[in-house]
Amino acid sequence: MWIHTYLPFFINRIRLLYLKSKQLSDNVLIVEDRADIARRLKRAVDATGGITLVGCAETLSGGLDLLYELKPRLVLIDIGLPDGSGVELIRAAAKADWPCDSLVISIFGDETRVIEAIQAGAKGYVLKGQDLEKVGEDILAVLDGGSPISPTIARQLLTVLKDTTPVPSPCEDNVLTGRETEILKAVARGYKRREIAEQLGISAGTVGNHITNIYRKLEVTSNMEAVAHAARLGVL
Amino acid sequence: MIARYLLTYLAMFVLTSAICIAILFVSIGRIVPIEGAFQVTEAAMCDEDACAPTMPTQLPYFSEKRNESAVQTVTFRAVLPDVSVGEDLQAIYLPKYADHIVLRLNGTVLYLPNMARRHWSQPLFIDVPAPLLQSGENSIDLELMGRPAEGLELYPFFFGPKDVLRPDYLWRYTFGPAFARFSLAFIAILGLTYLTVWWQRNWERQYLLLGLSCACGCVVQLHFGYGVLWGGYHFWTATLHLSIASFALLIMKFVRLHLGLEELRIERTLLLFLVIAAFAAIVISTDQLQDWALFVNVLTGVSATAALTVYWIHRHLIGYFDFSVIFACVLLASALGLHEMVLILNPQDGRSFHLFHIVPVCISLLCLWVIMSQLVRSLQRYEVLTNTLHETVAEKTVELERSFARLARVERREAVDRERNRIMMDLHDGIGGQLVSTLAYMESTGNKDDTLKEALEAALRDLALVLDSLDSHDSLTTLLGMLRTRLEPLLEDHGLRFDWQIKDDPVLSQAGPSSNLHLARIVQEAITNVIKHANAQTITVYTDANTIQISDDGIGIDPACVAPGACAGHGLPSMRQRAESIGARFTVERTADGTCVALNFAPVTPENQPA
Repeated sequence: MWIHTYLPFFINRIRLLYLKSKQLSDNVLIVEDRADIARRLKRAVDATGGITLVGCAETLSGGLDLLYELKPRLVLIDIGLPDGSGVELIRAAAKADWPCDSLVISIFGDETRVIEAIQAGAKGYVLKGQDLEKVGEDILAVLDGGSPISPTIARQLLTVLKDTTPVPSPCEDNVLTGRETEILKAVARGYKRREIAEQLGISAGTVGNHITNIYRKLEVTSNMEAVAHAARLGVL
Repeated sequence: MIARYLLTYLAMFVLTSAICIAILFVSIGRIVPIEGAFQVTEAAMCDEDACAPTMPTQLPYFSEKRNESAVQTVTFRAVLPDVSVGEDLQAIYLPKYADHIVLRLNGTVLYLPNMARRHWSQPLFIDVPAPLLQSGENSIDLELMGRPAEGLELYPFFFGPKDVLRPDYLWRYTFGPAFARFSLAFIAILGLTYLTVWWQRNWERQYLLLGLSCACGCVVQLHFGYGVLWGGYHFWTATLHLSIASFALLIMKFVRLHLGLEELRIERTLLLFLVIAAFAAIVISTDQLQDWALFVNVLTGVSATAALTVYWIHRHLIGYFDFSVIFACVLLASALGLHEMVLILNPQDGRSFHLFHIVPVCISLLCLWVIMSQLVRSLQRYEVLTNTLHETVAEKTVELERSFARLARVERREAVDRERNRIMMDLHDGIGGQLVSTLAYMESTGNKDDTLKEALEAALRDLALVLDSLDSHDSLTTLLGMLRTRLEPLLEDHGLRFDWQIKDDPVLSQAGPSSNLHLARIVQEAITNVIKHANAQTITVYTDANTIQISDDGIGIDPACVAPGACAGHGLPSMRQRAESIGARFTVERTADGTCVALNFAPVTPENQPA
């Protein structure tokens, strides 16, 4: 009789522990070829609660191997790897069949590569030179669903997403709404999120959501472009 | 619509008849006495036994028209009065008779006819050998042979000196048979030419029509020029009249093609009738041939008038000159056709000269002229086209040159862009990466050298600024935004915050990456000054179309530094110099709250001159 009472209790406890352990720590994989920067990022991850470093690679092929072996929740990817472009790794992470996000490690947050990476499926970027706490904060923010953005990225997005797409879409997946355009223009001028929220009379969280949506549209655009390109080539 | 056609038809008929009557009135070829020769105006008709001198027949003589096609003979005897002949050679000259004649002078045969050739349109000139003439009266026996269906004719004839009679004979001969024979050759050659052109020009219809019409014209000219009877009387007569009708039909088709009209109904009707008539000609007897011929000719005449009507109604389709020529020729041809019919049906004195052989020539020349004018027009169009072509080619060449120049410029610009991007990438990855790596190394080895760390961070910021200025070369506000992102950590370290008030992009007189970089450096220097010296809490950055202002709420700048050239330690002289190099006015002043550094881009006018 105590089996009926205590067994479900035990099973529940074990389940809770398992979930908690999952929540407690997201696994992070770092792919960076410069040793000093890799060490710095390791220290940043170690210092931040909620994320655990499970692996570190210095090449693209090494990174891909570790990706499939360790199945991390998050991958920090440097674009300029010695044996290829980190964008391939981002694509692999995007196609992964377990929850996996990728972040670009960037020196300046220079837009072309970041935008390429976002089009390939990255969630955002972290700056190499920032304080360690800042790096940790950025990682957690991205895991939470936020998306960092810089003025030049915002300006580029305005051009890329306003351009006429090669495939006319029946749904407005790749066209910016008026509010989104306003936000991007403000970001391009150097305003920060809370300032924009104050100006527009919305919450900072809403601003963040808009930016995330914009990034998704960028990904959609690049997908559609790829589809259109493939259709033209007669592949589809 | 129908009324219009009928009225025009009537008008055409009246016009044709009027011209015909005019021609008849002129009485071309009326036989008049010739000076110096004796004109025989009466002859006694003889039957088998004797002649009847007491009841002479007046010449011209026309036999009764009967539907008989067998050749009949009528004999005449004319008496020449006592004429004193001199040394000159004498001749007998018959201007017109039909169809054959045997001539005897005082019983001796002077002339025997060629029965295969009819003499109905040719004059006859016979030399009289002197010994045959006897003094006193001479008698001339004429055996006139012909077909009653067509009619036997004998017009007054002449006896006299050869030289006196010759001119009239020559005149009659030249404008009659000679003209017909010459035009036969002409039309035959023309016809062959048309048929060759038809073959060469990919079987273009109009040349076939003209070639065939020339063939028909040849038949007519053979009849008028030689009086032949190829294939026998029945066959030849049928061929002749069918040829005339075909000729009319072919010319109608040709003119209609030239006008650019649809096939006319009369063409079809005429063709149908022709076919029926051809069949009829085969079956009927030779006696009825003349009636048949009459019917065919009337048909032709009616069709010709109908054609004239159509041309008149559509006269706006071709040029005025073209139309007048075509209309006049066809009208003349119709009138001459009518004239010929009158001559045949109602022979009279004064109607001795047939004119119908003019018609094929006239019409052939008309068609030739039409073809020539087509050719001339084609050549003109070709010239215009060639000129236009030359012009177009010249234009296109210029356009092409311009396009190539533009393309070269674009390619050059793209090459420059590619090069710039490559340099940027190298700087970014190379120097940028190294700086970041060095900072990371310092951190990991616990190096506490703040001066070194600040210097490295400043170098990193500077590199970022240079790269940003190259990238954001068309938007100064974005550049300032990036500057904020780079400087914000530094501000936080010193407990400062930004009051960001970017309104519009300032309008620079010389926009470009280097101007933007100068401006960014000025702003950066101003902000760094605030961080280092102002002891403030808020830095306000404000831009609009004409100004950039950096102000703070600190202790305020030393008033002595406001003057140009002072306080080099704060970097003010270099800021001033940078501002001048981009065409902006630089001011620094101490305000009630703190310090304000301003750049002004508005063009100087009396209103905004600084006091």
